[in-house]
Amino acid sequence: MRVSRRAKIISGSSVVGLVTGSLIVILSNPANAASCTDVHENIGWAQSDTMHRGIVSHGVMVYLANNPDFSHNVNCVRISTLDMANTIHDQVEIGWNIDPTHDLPCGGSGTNDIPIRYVVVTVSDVQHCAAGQPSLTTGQEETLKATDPNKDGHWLFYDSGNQLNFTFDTTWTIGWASAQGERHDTSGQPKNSAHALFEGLQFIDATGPHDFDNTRVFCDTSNDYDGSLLNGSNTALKVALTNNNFQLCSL
Amino acid sequence: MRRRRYLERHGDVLGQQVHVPEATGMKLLTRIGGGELALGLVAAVGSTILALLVAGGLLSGRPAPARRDEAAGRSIQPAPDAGARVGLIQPPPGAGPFLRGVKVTLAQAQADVPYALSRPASPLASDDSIAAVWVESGPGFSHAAIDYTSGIEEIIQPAEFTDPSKKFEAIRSELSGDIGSAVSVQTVQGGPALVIDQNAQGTNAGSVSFVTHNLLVQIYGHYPEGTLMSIAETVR
Repeated sequence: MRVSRRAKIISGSSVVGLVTGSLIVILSNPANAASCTDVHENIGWAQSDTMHRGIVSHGVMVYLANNPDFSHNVNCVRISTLDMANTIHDQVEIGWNIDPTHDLPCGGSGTNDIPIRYVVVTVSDVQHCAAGQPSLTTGQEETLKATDPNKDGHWLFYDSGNQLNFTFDTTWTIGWASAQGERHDTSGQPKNSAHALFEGLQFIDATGPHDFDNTRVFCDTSNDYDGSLLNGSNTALKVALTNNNFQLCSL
Repeated sequence: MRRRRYLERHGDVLGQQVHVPEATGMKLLTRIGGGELALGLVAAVGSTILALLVAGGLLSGRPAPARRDEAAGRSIQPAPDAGARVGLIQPPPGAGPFLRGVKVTLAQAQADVPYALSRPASPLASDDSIAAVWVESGPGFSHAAIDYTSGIEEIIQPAEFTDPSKKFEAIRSELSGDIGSAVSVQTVQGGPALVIDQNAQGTNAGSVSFVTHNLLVQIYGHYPEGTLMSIAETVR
């Protein structure tokens, strides 16, 4: 009899606890709160003859104006970047992002459709946001550059020829020069866009900038988006919706 | 007085009239009806926590995907997601931590790079516990990576800076605004080492970077920094 009463106490109290916990969760999570995950797709190219000390694109399209997704489909993060990658642990990149839920370390502070220029340095897996502004004009192209001119692990970043008021030190001096489109949270409907366009792509070595050539490799983790050469040029690369399967880093 | 009223009221609820002298209220909690009351409170608190944990798990979204390393035949599990990260260009399967890495034997790796591959000799990382070795090289550069069955990864490449102390301090200063004391410059093998604690940003492994024999050696792993530093001390 005593055991039975204790069982009633436990079960009754447990119900109260479960209800209390559920109420706390419900009240602290509004139904309209956005939920973006870290799942992402990257579609891009890397100049693969050897590692270099910088990359520049004389035409990084900012959120394509003719993109059919322009007004509505930015639910989570989308990105276009120029990258210098030494290993998967250590990279620098400059580009633009749209981050409506402010999940990124450099996420925008504006509304859903305002892209911002940013720089992220990844040091031993830790991502450091170097700059999160200014807002960029959609439909225009930016000239962006990341380079270690003295090959001493001291990186400089440029927008339209102007050096940004920011530098960063790394333990490495050269990396794979690459350009890529990226989207996050690929399971939502409608899905985010990963449209991207890079024109005038060049890698930078000790003698200066040189055009991307036919040694570039294509790296794609998306089943929906693919890359292609614009007008057959190795220096003009485009990411668009093609519904082809992904392929990982091949010529 | 308030406690006394509470116990008397709840004693009734539990089917037992309780008289609670002012000074002995807590003692009574562990006896007669108080024991059952405590039992009920524990159950209520426990189930509240359970509800929060379950709901939290459902609302937190998908965990960050494991990096499946086909060449090494293992998965490297990232720590729980702590917000989105900028996606990094990913190497194809079999390339290890390099975009164009080639899986080789330790002997082949040693033959492919123009420097001696300094390696750890500790219970978590030694030549007896190597899972995979990669080399990536080209005109003007080379580096190697060694993965161990414990999940430890070592990356070796020529150090391209002359003052490790100055370099590591510059990086520490730049990262400290993001991860605070999770990044530090400490001493390994009598010299400076850049130490980053695991999970400083929710997903990163811990790492120790230091220079020995003009090589930059980096030890990665989801282990406490003291463990990674002890491994780094054994690199010869």
